[in-house]
Amino acid sequence: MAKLGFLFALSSFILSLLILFLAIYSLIKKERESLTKTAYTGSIFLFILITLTCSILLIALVKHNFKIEYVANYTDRNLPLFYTLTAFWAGQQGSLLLWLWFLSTFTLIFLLFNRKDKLTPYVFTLLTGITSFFLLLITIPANPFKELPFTPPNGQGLNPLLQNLGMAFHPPTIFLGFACFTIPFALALAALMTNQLDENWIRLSRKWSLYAWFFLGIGNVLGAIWAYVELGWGGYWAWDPVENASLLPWLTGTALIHSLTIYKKRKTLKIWTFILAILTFILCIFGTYLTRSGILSSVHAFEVSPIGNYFLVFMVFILASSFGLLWKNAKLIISPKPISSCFSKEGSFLINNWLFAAFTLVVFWGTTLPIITQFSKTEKELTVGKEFFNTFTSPIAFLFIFLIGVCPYLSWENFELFSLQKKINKPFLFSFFLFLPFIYFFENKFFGLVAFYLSLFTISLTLYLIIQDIKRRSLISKESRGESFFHLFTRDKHRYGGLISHLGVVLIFMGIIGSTLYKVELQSQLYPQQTQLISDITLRYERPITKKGPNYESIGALLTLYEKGIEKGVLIPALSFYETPKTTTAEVAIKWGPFRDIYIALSEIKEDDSIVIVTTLNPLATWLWIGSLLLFLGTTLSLWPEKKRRK
Amino acid sequence: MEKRKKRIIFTSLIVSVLLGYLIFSTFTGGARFSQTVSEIKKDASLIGKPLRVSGKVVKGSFKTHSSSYFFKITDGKEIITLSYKGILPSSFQEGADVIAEGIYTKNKIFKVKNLLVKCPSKYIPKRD
Repeated sequence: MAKLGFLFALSSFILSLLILFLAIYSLIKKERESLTKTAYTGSIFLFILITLTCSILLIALVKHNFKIEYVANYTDRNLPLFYTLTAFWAGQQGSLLLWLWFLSTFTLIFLLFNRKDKLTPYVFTLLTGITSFFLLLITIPANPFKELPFTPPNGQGLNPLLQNLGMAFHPPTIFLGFACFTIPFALALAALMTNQLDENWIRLSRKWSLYAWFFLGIGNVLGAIWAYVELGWGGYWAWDPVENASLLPWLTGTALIHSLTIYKKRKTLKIWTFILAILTFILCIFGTYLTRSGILSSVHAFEVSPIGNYFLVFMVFILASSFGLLWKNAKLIISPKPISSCFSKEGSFLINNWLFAAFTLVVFWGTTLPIITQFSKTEKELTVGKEFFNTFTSPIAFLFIFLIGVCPYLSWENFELFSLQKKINKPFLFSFFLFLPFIYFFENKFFGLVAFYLSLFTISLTLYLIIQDIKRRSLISKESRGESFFHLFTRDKHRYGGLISHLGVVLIFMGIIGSTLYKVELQSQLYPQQTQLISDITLRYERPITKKGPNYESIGALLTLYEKGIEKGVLIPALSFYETPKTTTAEVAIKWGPFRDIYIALSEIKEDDSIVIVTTLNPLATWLWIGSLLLFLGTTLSLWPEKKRRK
Repeated sequence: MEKRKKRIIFTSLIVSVLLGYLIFSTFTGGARFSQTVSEIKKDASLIGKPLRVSGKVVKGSFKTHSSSYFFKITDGKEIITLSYKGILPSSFQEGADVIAEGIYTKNKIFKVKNLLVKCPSKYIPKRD
């Protein structure tokens, strides 16, 4: 079976090289028609071959073929079927295979919809080149079908921490985003190669970038949720290198989708758009490299493997060739007239790009510092902690929130202070009204309150904008307000999708501020029937209870929760013991609430039934998830296909 | 083009100042070198400084005392004692590889502020 899988992988690699040569040859010879057609047909076969390769690995996993090292490393006989399937991407080789499969799927979808486009032969060639690189990895240094010299009776099992719904879907969603960002990159290069810098590539690129950005965003949020419910330390983001790895392309990707809008509307920020498209793709590759080559000693570290060098060579090659191409064409791209004012609408997009660049640089610097210093004379890793990231990113985040609110009120080209002031008077007053409960309920912390006020100001600005739009429309079209609301949101999806996403971002920001600055944490030891008071909450420890799962046994602590003296149900934080691999994981109990989460992790349970628990109160943590949901809903609205108008 | 030139100079000035500040502050305050257990034992000048150390948790060394945890870690040569107050990461166990951030105090105990566990069984296959 392993041989069959490898045979499929190898023949895919050979086929992809053939297609690549054919595609390049037809580009040089300009014999487009027949040769290109053959190449396109070949890519269908390539997709089928890669799919077969994946299926073989899946079958091997389900059939517990422990002779294959990958299967033996990540599964065992007791693992539930669902997690046996998700073990496909639990390790390095499988994840790369998945990346590859997504890439070849996207290549096919792109071909399907844009067969006739002038850019397509170039895009296709580039995509096939990248596919070949991943196939090279699969066949030589990261072969998922590598066999062990013997067949072990049972596998080592999947790490219990990965046996969680969030973690099951988090990696593939990230890879979906990574693979999808390949297409805007290929489009940008194709536009540069052919000098077709018009609307066409922008239109395609905007769509694909939004999809990619959407997947990557969801992937990141799933990872955060997983960390929150599974890791038991009361937080969701630790600035871990692996988290940063998928945050980086998301940051440049966000800047990219904003630049694309301006490129399309105002024919400016062109250089930015190209640079961002290239950088985002390279950061996707870099992210895969960081997480899958074991270069960093992170919580997630994979074993150090030779694929690192392949990635490095590939990245340097991409970086040099694409920036070389950009440099060669720079004169053609630079906009005829520079942006007139920093405080015009275009100007605010430019500032937005700079902020994203700064944010990316800070995260990149903090993440790669250990790698860079590792190769210095002392061979010591220099690392930065959470504080570094928080200190440098928070001022940028504040500016983002301000910009989100004000930008839609700015006018194109010029800055008019007077008209701006007149426009934002009402929302400015309204925001103070919203702010009152925050002053009442939250402790007086300068930065916290400033952050809340700023967010509320931005929320009122955004809502006011929507309300004004609705009023104007209903006045002109004589519709009712409700109809206007509906029509606006269905007609100008891009604008309102954007505004909704922005509201989401502000809520996420408030959630982060609330759960970071106003977090309350307490560790306590309790005997049965003993109670514990934390702020206005009382917990009573009743007794330990045990439970048996399919591949684990768990022991939990039954706690009764009282808020302001009123019984509010029970919480059962627990510890689960897994046999293969032999590990213990903490199963936290969370009482989600609109204004705060009560988060309890059991850290140990002793012979005499006494327990040690850590209780965390996370104000506004839920807003983070609601905000993320809004962000994705907004993006979905932006992506919703326009109705085709009949001519 | 005059305006554009001015703008480029202005922008690069701001960017280089901020960049300089970023690099400067990393090397003066924010960053920590990873130390090995042996280095911490040997080098008296490290006492009282914020450090980062990694090692394997020594089997049978884990104890609890008045809501603090005590355990020993080793780099294969030397052993030091760590004290930790807070929630243990769920994958923490004896024999696990951990990274600890904190301060090595005068009484030879490493006070841990942040504790990370590398997951040996998660991604790194055991090789015997």
